[in-house]
Amino acid sequence: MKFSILVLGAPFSNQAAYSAYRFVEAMMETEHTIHRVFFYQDGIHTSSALATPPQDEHDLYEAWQDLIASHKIECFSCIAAAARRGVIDAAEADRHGRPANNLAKGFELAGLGQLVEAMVVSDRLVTFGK
Amino acid sequence: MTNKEILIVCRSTPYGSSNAKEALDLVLAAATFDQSVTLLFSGDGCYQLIGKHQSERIHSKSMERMMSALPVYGVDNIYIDALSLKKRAINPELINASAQAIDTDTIKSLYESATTVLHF
Repeated sequence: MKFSILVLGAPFSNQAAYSAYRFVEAMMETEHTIHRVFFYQDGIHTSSALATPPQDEHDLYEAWQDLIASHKIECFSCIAAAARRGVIDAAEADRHGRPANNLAKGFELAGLGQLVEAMVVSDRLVTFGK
Repeated sequence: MTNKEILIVCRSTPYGSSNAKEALDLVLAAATFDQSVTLLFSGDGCYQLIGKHQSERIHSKSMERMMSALPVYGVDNIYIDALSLKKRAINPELINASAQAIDTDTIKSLYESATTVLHF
């Protein structure tokens, strides 16, 4: 079956992003496919390039980036939800005159249309909420 | 795109968190892409539908105004849980006219006929 994943909670503050990571990782061992992972609401913080966990804690940000890179998983953060919460790419930083940008490698910003498409095209949408 | 039945359940107060607004944004996005969307308000979500909000006094966009866009986008299936209203002693007459109060059995059938369910 074709799955899409929706993540609504931020790493550390909530377990959603970690549970989703473990789920996607487990899916890679099965015959099911991941169509897309979509980060909405606080979930967008998973796509931050600047989040810095302490050295002695699991770096979930790096874990997601490695997972995305090794399995070529399509990951989107909602552009509006991310902008509101302080995660922007270079284009958005330019457009809004912000001093820096911080979207992590492997993630793209997109509209909610990508989430709707994921719902429509996938057999299952699994939500990791707050 | 194959058509899905999307049920979005709003359980949060209108301004206490971003849930109400972000749920509505998703409803409008789904409607824009011609998906069949049903909106159910239950629990504290009922407060989103009460009366006239003077939300500018708390520097917020009005929930009411956002919701008035729903019929324009073709979202007509808007329901509110009658039991939640009762538990909160909310007079059903205060509820935004576009929402239809339904009982628990009807809510069960909404869940049964949906292909995708999201809670905010």
